[in-house]
Amino acid sequence: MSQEEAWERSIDMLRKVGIPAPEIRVGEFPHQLSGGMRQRVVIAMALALKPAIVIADEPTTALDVTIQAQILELMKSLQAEMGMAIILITHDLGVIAETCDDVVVMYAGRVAERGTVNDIFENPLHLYTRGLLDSIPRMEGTPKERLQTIPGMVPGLADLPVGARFAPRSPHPGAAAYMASKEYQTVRPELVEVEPGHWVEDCEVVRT
Amino acid sequence: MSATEKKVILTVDDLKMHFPVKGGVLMRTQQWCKALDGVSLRLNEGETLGIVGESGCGKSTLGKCIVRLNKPTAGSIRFEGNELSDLSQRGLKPYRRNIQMIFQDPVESLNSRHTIGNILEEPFIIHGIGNHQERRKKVAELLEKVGLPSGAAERFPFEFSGGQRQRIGIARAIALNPRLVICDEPVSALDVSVQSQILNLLVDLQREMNLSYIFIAHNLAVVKHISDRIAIMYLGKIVEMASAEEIFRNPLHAYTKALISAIPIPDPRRRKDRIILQGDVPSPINPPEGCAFAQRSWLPCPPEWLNRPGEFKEVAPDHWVELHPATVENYQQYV
Ligand SMILES: Nc1ncnc2c1ncn2[C@@H]1O[C@H](COP(=O)(O)OP(=O)(O)OP(=O)(O)O)[C@@H](O)[C@H]1O
Ligand SMILES: [Mg+2]
Repeated sequence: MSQEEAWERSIDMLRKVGIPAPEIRVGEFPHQLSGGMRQRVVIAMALALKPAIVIADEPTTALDVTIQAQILELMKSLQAEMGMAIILITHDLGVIAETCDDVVVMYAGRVAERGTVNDIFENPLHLYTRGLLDSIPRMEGTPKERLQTIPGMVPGLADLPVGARFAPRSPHPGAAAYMASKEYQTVRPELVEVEPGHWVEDCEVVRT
Repeated sequence: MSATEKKVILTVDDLKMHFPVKGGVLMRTQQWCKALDGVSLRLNEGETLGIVGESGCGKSTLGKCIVRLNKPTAGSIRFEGNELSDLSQRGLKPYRRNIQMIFQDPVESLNSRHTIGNILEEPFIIHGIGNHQERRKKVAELLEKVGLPSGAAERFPFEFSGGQRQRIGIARAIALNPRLVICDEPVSALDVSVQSQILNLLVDLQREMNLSYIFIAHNLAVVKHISDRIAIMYLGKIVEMASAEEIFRNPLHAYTKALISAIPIPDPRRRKDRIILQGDVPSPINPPEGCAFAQRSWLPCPPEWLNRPGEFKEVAPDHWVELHPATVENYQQYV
């Protein structure tokens, strides 16, 4: 591809991800764009070469929800067209509910729970998953009402236990005894398949 | 207290911020990016005004003008009755402590080579408050207020998680007992369990210190949760403004309706019908002559209105909207 072609393709991609006046923007520097526009430029770069797998790390976080819906639609239609797989990393449970087939919930470097999107939202098996679902403000909630939180903090990467990493934040009555046990020091819980395709960390004190 | 009795803390009137940009084939023509093109709003004491809008519509620019990190091109910013828009840096000093800003990325805004103690002590030094010992005491109080351990003072920003760094950003913003805090996407980068902690903290501080907030975010559930009133921005203008309840119960502007219909709902069984907006987002560089939303709206626009701007009008008590055939269904009934 010649330099002129590459320039033209760049303008096309910018238009495709919804950048206004792409002929002008293509010649600008990142600091001249808004946060959301910068994010769209990055998406354009990732999709330009039609990859087999796209790892999208918070691809729409900085975008307003109408553009977010457009971008997710765009990624879905490119996926249908090119058959690429998408790994979508996000904090936004709404985006996950609306775009994903399968979900992996991670906590402190490990998989806590894995299943179909319906499994995770309708029948969460891990206390961390439940805690996340409970702490989002809901459209139907009362304004400024105290939101639920998960007590405690994510452990520092330096002092991670071998056992279930969520145990120190678990309200389970057996959590203290478990953390005093030898098991906590030595045994890493496996994932178990509780129902077909729905896996959870096999440790009683971190399960719902 | 009824709405009319509330004390107004901030009034913004017809605010404009036009940035010079280079354009054209050879990047030689001088053009203007009209990031803010006539914004008017009012904020009551102790109240939160949520600001939502397309990325690039000028939300951060508005925040930066109010804290006067930007000098606006035109218009007025009155804080407790005092005009700020044309003050010099020196003239601004007495107001700086009263108007603070919290940023989305607390990492970028924290000096990584200073300890948290030094970072939090700095505002007191700048404003000549207390001796070293007194300032250290204030730092300890601040840390406690935002829920950080007192040992944090001796540590560096990189040693903290995103949520904790946002607490540090909040601590610095509230250090001098401000009246008004601009929160620019303060929870966008945080996971939802940390997000709820920070939102709880902001609500607690508001009640305790009678703070007024301007709260910028894309997540409408978050904005609805924290805001008393909400302003919807589109391309450098506010296109609708009302109480949070009213905006969601009775949205009038087509863009507001599109926004609400696009909210992702955290329930996989409730996939909804969306208004997916068509067309390009117009650019703030050479924005359209008439109503900026007309070309993306599904409402018909009579030819005589094509180049006519809408009128920002109060159509019900404290419910303002940009009235134009392309933005409000049956707009005649409000004229
Ligand atoms: N210093 C600057 N020089 C030139 N243009 C600027 C400058 N700062 C902002 N702009 C432009 O002003 C417009 C508004 O930008 P702003 O950052 O206020 O948007 P925003 O609403 O905060 O967007 P986002 O939701 O993506 O954060 C954009 O078109 C941006 O490119
Ligand atoms: Mg911004």
